[in-house]
Amino acid sequence: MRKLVLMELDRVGLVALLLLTAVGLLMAFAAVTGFYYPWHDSSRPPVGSPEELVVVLLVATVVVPLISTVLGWLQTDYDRRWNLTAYVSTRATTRGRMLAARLIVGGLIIVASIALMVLAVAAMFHAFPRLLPVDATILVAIFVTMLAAALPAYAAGLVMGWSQIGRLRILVLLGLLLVILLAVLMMGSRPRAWITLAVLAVAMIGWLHHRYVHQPL
Amino acid sequence: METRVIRLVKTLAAGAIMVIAVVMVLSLGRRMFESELLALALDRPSSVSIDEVDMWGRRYDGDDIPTGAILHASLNRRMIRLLWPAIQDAVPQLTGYGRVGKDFVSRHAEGSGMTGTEAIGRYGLDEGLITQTAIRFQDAAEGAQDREVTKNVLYAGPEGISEVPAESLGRFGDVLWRPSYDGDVIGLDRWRRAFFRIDFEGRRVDWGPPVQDDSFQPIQIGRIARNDFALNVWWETPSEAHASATQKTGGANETPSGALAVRHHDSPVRLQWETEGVALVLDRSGTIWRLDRAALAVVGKAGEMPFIKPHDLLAYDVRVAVGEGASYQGVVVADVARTGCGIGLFAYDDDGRLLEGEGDAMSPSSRPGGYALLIGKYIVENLYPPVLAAGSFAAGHHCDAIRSLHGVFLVPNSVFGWRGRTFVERSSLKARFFALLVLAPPVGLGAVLGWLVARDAKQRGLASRSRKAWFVTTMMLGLAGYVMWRLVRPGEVMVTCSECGRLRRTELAVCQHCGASWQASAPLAWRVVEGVEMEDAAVGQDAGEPAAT
Repeated sequence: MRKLVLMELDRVGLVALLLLTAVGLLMAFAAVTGFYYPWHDSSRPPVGSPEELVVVLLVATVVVPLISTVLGWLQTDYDRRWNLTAYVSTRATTRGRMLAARLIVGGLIIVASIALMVLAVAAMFHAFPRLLPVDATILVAIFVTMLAAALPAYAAGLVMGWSQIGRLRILVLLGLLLVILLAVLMMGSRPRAWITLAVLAVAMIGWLHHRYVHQPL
Repeated sequence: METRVIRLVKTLAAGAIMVIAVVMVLSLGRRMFESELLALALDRPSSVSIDEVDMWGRRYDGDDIPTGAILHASLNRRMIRLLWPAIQDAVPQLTGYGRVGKDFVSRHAEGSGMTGTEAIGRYGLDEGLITQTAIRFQDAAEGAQDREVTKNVLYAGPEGISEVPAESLGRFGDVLWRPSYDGDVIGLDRWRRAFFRIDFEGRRVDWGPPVQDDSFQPIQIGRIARNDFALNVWWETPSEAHASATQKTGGANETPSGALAVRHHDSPVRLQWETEGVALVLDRSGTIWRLDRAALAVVGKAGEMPFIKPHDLLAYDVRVAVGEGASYQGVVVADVARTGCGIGLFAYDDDGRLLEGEGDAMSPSSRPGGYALLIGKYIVENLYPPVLAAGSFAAGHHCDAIRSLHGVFLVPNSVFGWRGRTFVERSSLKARFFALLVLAPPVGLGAVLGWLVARDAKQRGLASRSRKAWFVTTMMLGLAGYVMWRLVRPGEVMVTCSECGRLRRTELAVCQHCGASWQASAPLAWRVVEGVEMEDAAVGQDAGEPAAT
């Protein structure tokens, strides 16, 4: 299992780097505009969550799921192109374990990116303290929504990567992404949106498992 | 070969994906139609006015204009925001101080901006104690680097106020509270059934007498409002009304742009959210009570939200009319109905008697395109899974107006919820039957799709039990069920059955239509022959071959 995980990690390193770079850039923007300026170049007393941070987090709620989809797509696409499953199947392992390794790596990259954002936000609040304690509820809600949206988006990428890229595939994938974003837009950063997205993620992984296990080599 | 469990997992996964996808897309369609209907309501002069009323017992004309004051309420464009929870969540964060809600006040002690001292306070409820956090913020003097910030936190419990959360302060029970304009906190401890006032400056907590009436169930205290950004309420004195009437013809009802406007240049009456002597308390039933701030006791009725209970209103705003010498004159209640297309305005005197009330509701016929939007919304709603339509029908009566508006799976704000409310409110059997008929289109569509699926399932050789299960599932899920079947149905290779001539599946031992096996039947003892064939047969006969029979 460890070898399978390392192998997956080796293949998707580039996308992981892309995801982390996007997150880093967004955070840097939030740090400078939302935290540094109010203390140094503005007459506005730094109270509550800076608007810039909220904007960045809202943008990230769209960007992180999109990059997660690309991550999932590439993982499966690589497998399909190089017939990796057929090759690995000759070793002492099962398809279930191969899929689990893939999901663990993808999930870890997504969780790590969001955890990095949480750490960055905490560091910003520590370095540039606000005059009143921040109501963290909305920030936590946005992070949970981001994670909840990224997981089904990642699973959608994994499912769609199984076939050659074509107009229909792209349309279906865009449709699934639209459904995920609509869930966020119409339910807000609230528990019912998280539950819906979690059900969607589990259903997609169930579907993926079925397809992967029954894929002819 | 797929096992039963794998098939079940595959079907459930496809079902969940399809139901969520179909409902999200339909929900988007519904919201867009609702947005357009609201936009229609907002496009027209949607204000309500009460005029020619000897408002609160006297005239404030001061000149020879023989009219009373005019009270206005209108819908605000920002109410569209109510339809989109994500935007509603984000907007407060993007408009200054973030989600500050009731527990935030900002006071400029002296000076402002770069050069002054600013004190900022926040009130909160923390483990049974009401806290006041005060921050004093001194800007750096010219040339200096650092700003001076001091912080002071006070904890208030039923027994007193302290700088530490000591046990001796006691703890509030289930508490309804709100800071007032003067920095005090007024609240009701539901466990002790008594009102209290916390004076942080004087470091004391006062209690009123216990509330005796058990049916008294307050839901809001102090500032009585819900989504008040959706409403404009303002007041024109006779001279202002006269001036605006002469300046623009028919423009008296025009909505002022921007925030709430309260104009009172030549009138001693002000419309305020709070007043010195009286705090308002809203009961679950919609009655508004007057609370004496000094005695901390309810002294009488201030008014009510007529016809509709607070949880059935999308927005409301209650203003106190304050006269000369800060005297209490009455209240004004403005509200927006559940659909967002109706507005009401009511004025009450200082005894809680209704002085005047006006209402206005937009019917689809009042604007071009209104009916088309309504029909479009109805069609989209009827594509909802029948099981969710039935759930919306059942939930319509209980659901809060805002939660109804934000419904995605259950949509109590739909035609189903509306008829569901009729079903509960009417006792007549006929009315109830007609209310139930609203479910006929989605159930009918579900039944047709279920029949199509069952027919297809039979062609594909599914067992009778599976076919029934698919019929029921599709009937319950409607369109989503049909798409789900298309995704998971077994693939088929069909050949013509030699017995019945219809298409039969190759992997089954017997024909799914006539039950014939693969074994060919015995050849027929006779057959029909064409003319040419008959001639050939005749030639063969001549040649001494046996003739075909």
